[in-house]
Amino acid sequence: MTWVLGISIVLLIALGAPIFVALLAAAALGLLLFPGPPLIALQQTIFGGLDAYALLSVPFFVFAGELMAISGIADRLINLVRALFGRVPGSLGIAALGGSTLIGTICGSSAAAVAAVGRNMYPQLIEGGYGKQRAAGIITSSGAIDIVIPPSIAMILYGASAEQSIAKLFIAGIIPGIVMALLMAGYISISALMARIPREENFRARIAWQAFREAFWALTMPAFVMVGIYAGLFSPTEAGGFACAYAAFLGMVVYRTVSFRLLLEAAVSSAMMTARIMIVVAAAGVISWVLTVEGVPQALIAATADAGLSPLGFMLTVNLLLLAIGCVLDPTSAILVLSPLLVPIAVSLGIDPIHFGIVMTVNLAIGMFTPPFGLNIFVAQSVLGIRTSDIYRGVLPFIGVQVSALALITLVPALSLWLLHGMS
Amino acid sequence: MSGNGFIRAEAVVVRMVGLLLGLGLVAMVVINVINAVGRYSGWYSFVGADELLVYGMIWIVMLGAILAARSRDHLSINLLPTAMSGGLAATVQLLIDIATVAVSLFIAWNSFVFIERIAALNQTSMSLGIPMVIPHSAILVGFVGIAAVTAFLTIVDVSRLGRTKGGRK
Repeated sequence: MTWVLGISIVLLIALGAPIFVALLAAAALGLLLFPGPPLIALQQTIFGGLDAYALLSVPFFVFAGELMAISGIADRLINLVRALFGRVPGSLGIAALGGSTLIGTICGSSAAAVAAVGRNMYPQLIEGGYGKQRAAGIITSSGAIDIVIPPSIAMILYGASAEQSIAKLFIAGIIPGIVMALLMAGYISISALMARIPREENFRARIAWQAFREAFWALTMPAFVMVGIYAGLFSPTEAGGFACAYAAFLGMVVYRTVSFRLLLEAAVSSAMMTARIMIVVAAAGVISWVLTVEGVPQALIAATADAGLSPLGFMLTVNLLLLAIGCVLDPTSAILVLSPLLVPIAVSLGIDPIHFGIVMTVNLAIGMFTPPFGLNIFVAQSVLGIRTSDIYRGVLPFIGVQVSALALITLVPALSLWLLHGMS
Repeated sequence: MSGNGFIRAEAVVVRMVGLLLGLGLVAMVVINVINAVGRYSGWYSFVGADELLVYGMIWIVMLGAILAARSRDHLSINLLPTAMSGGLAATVQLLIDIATVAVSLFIAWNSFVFIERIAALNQTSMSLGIPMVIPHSAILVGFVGIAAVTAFLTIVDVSRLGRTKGGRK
């Protein structure tokens, strides 16, 4: 039965079928060919997959991201980072990276960050002497950090799927996200020095103060959301609602860049994005149920024990598997399909499920910009209007940098767990 | 109704459903924020808000899934189709559409059987006492809708393909 499920899912996805159709078709085929579980439970499984309060944070953070994009919050954040870095080698590239990281603290969508930073920074990077490939590489790879920096939709889905605390995952993602950003910044700076890219103007306190004043209200948004969650004032779902309300307030009242019509358009677009993500959540719930009923996770745990795989060996194998899968499958689907299979094995080997969730997320973040099918590559292509081959060449060095970060995060669980233990 | 009339009516329905989803999401945000503020300030507590929000989300997901099927932009990986020739790609699309209709009808039928049972039991939700038929029907409506729009798109595609071939002869 496992083979029937596996082959039908891979075949249908490869042929271009919607992912939820591939998952449901495989489950239906399995249930019809190998009768056992009652078919009437299908409805309960689909409904149960969506009937979770924690999942409400998905539409809320998607909506907050849309509002942030249309209200000009992203542009203000990018301008601030740019003003702060002055003559530091590669300061323009670091500004794109920093802007992307700050945007990640507000919305959990990598594609939204690539689009926002790409529109703002690509022309400036080209003008600053970075060249098409390097500029595209920085923008495309920086966006991936957004699904590691909380709030992260990938983490919400992992938490719901692996039954782990979303607030803990958010806290655990902070240091790995910063590690990824610092390694990237280091590489951008060194490569800019080596390529003799002209430096920007000196740091000017007046300009930095002006940029800070313009970005102040935008900066309070991530602070408001994060402090609220970590101080236990509100749940991640409530934080999502507050993030929407705050972004709408900034856009409509403070910056006056968002009309009610624009707000409604953003809401429609967010609802549609939510539907596309959550129908996969529901379908993945069905596959997970069928696999559990058939005892597949238990069989995998037994096989892993028989193989005598050490925790480190398992983590390395999982990293290779996820890096490969991340190149062709979006993180949402990958997390929903793989978590129910991999998390029980990780737990049986004594690996902390929160640390494992962060490793999974970082892997899939790298997959977001890895050729040939990383989602960010296509977003960047449509926003920047350049050839895919230029983006492929541009992202290659950043894959190396991010894989180094992944190795560090995998081998040092304290990077994910230290803040969590410290706070508790 | 003429062909153009049908297309216009369909566009209006799609726009209205989209608007409904957007307004629904805005309402969910408002309820969520008011409920959280009210609870922490001790001013007001809306018992059952969580239930209402989750059921609202399920309806938004299923109605949105119908619209996404209508515009064929559900999450998918176009690994092979982009490399295929026009005829082969059309055949693969036809097979995918048939699979979508079959799977959706299969789920819809099992959903219908389940809803019939809970309707007979008069099952209601724990906090608000909402008849459980209402939230569960979202799954039925969603998959019937996905099957219907995909079947419609398939018929349109096949007839267009037929006309193109007829034109070549």
